[in-house]
Amino acid sequence: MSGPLYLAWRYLVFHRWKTVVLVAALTLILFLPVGLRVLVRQGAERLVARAVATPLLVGAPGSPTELVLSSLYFESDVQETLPYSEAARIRDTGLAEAIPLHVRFRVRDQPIVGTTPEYFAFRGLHAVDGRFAAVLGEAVLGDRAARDLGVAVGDHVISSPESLFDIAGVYPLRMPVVGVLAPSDSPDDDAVFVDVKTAWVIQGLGHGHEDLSRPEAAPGVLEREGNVVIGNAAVVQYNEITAENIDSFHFHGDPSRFPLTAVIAVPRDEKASALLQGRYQEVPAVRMVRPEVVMGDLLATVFTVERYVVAGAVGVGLATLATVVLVFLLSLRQRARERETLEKIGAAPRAIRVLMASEAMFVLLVAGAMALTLTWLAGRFGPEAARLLARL
Amino acid sequence: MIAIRDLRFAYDGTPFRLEVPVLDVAARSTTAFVGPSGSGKTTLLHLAAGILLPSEGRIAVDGTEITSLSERARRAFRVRRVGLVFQEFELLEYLSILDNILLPFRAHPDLRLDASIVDRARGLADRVGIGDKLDRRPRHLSQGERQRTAVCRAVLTDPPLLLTDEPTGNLDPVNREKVLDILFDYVHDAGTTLVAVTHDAEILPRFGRVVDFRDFHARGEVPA
Repeated sequence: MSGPLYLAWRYLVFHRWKTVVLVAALTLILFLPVGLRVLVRQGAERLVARAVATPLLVGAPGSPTELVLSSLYFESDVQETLPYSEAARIRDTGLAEAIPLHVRFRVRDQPIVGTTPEYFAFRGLHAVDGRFAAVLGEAVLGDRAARDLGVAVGDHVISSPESLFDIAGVYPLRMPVVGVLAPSDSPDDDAVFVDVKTAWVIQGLGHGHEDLSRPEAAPGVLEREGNVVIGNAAVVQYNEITAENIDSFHFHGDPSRFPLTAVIAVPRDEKASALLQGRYQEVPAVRMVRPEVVMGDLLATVFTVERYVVAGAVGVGLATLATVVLVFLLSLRQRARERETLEKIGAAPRAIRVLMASEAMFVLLVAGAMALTLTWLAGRFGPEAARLLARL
Repeated sequence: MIAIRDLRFAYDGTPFRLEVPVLDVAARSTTAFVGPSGSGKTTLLHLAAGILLPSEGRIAVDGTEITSLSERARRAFRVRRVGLVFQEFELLEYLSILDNILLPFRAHPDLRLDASIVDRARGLADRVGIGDKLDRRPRHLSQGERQRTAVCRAVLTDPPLLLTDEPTGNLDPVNREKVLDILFDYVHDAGTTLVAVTHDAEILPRFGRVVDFRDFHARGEVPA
């Protein structure tokens, strides 16, 4: 190492904490506005990509944003539902394929998505281990969901009660894991997929219990009137659907009126899409939205907020930069004596300039490199980090 | 060793003026510059080292007329031919004692730092009694040890001329004698010419010659 550079290095090592603080401050100044933009734009791209890939969405009247967030990203709860018959009505138009969605329950933090096998084909999902759900009560897990829950094919997952204190509420259902999906880098990775009927069982619309006509079930019989048997609270209800008890599972009521949170409509072509949207404008009981448009509106707001945040970060950055410059200038002043000594003993002016400028140059170079690295990391792992932070 | 003729010097923008008609310092001699504060002793030392340039007159050091040299040549001349010891030691706090001694070799591209120079620095440090403190920082050394470090740095290039400014000014009597012993032993052994600015009348008997600056014409105050 040349003389002045060696001296510069010794100076930086001696004042290491000052150097670290300056590098950290400058790194943040450089990274925050750029990194923030990268993160927001990247997140926006992913959101828009999924929205664009979902042509039309039908839900109950209410917030279109909530409908889209719930149905596409499994992020929000939809309060109002629409009947299962709505899916049949879309199909009956002959204009579009209808994929029902029931997104309400969870396995710990993972959303349970009740749907039909068409959903997997529509999203291009395939099982990397096991198979898709074929029987009532089976679950197929997204890649991240399987990892986060620590389960694999052959294990079980249990739906979480909505409220621990509501004894009349939803009972947990134990479901065997029959498949794990390949990673898709989408919200599907976090989901626990079940058949829509299984979601209705979790909701309590369908259930299975011991056969009350059998003698050993007598303690659970409250009353018999001909063929009608009324059970009491002692009736054993099944919290897992197995090959032995699956026949006892049944639904009360008209399945066509059972709830869905949304229906994905996949039109045959542009014309079919336009026709379908036109028809749904005249149906007040349901709302049809184009997720791309809804997300566009939402992201416009996000970008406006982002601009304010970036402007704020730039303002804070400039103030910090002024402070850093002041520190450098004070440092130069403090080193006037050192400069004089070096001049007296014969150091070349260039060597002295290199030595004096090295602190600022080193701090700038390292901070620049770190800001670049952080920006690259934000681009590479930003969504993952954001997801982890959101869970904290 | 030093020949000064018709020297006039003034600091820009100040009333200070120094005039030295004739001054010769013989080679291998020991000379003390004495006189009241502001009489131009340190200024003349800096002129002799080529740090300052006179307004008029000539200064020759070891046969080289430094007033006619370019700034770069004067710097090269100073780093090879002149050793400087300052009153405030002027050690760099962020360097170890060894690196402080080696500083001229780090700071000047014409000087080549190799293992023999490092060995010489270690040898000098051993000789002045700081050989076991080479890894420490200046602030961990006593005043006397710091001055000895400054002496090692000044003589590392083996200069024929050693200029010292109040070499004992900040030292207690014990350390003062120790530093003077080191300086005079070195000067005697190496055949070096020693010029020292001093206010300390007690050390004057050790010098071969005393130059009183009241004999020169100095006016005004030397700027700080």
